Amino acid sequence: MPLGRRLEIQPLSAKKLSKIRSWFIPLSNNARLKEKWKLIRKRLRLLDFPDELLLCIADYLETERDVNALSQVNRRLCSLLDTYLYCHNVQCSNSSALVWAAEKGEVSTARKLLEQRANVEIMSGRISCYPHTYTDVKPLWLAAWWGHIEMVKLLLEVPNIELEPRDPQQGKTPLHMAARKGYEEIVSLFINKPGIDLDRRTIKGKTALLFAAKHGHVEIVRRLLAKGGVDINTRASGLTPLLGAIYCGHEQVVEALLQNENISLNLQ
Amino acid sequence: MASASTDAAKVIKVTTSDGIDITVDRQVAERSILIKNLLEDLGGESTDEPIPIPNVNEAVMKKVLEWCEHHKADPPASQDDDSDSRKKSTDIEEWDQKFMQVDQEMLFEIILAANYLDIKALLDVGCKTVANMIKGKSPDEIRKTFNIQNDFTPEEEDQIRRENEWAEDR
Repeated sequence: MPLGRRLEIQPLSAKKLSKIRSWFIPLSNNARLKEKWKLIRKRLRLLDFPDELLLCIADYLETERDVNALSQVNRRLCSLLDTYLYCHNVQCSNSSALVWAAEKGEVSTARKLLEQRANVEIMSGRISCYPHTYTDVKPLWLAAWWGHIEMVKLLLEVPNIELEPRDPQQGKTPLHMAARKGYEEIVSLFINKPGIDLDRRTIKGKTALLFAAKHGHVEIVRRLLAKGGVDINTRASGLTPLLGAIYCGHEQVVEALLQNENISLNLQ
Repeated sequence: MASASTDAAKVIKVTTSDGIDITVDRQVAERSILIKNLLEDLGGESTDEPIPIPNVNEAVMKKVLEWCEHHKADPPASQDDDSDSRKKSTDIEEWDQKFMQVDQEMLFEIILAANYLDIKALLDVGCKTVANMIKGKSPDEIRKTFNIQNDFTPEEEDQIRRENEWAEDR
């Protein structure tokens, strides 16, 4: 509008006035507005898509991060994409999430992965288990290292899982880790699992009994000895379980070992 | 290819859901496998009859045909093109990018129409466009973008976030 021109206000005709008034009639009485509202409500939205199209879109999300974000938007997307996400990890990312789940002890995550037939023998790559760093250890090994008993239980139920995976550096098995760190219940799980050699040696020749004795875990020493078939006089780097317990001052362990009829008192 | 010119000259008619007849080159319309199969079933005889497309309205049909017109010379998609190599690439050619610069509703309408009319390449472009709108966003940003209500309970939301934490940096 050019500057200086005054706005001219025309008086409204009766017809126009009544029309304007009609706009202010409550919504429920106004058929035209109702119709318009319906149109607005009927607008096509992303969630109106059938599942197959939503999955088609998910296919173009390149990262699991993006699929995950979309699956957390609402219930429908979650029920549609959560399985997709786990299936994708198993099929396209070699079950890498199982390493995470085993390390953190997230059983429900692991369950979802196992439902998609995750590879339970997946290697971790370089992984930090403070204060150590290991390379290429398996989920069962990690679960035992961190003492996640429910995770160990879950993994032990998987048919044909390798029961004694070793770390490539020292050759320690999950049983070794649990015995060394004093996870009694996990040790029991392994003791009661058929097919496990309780006398398995690390690269340096140490057995679970030696670890438990040296680190003073008397209950584990008792359980291993009660199970039988364990060499009580095993030796690694000049140390037997008894010597180890004596050197480290674990009286109760020494007592438990001495009560066993097979104990050799030749401490040379 | 002596008959190509006479074929290309052939036009057909489609009737949209809102009752509008649109005349279009047969070659262009045949980007739609649905229409192509229909025409083949008719034996190329009575193509004077308009083909009813009851699921697509005029505005959307015109947009779809605009895409078909631009892509009419594209080589037909081969069946074994359905592999991962196709899916992984989210590059969209420039013309298609401009073509897809429409409001969300039209974008969704185009995708539904492409799905119904069986135009795989257009469906792919549409899905890629929506995927690009999702990439890098948080769940909440996605809700805002597409106007979606969060219907999780706080407990459910916590649980799913905890279970899926592994995916956050992949």
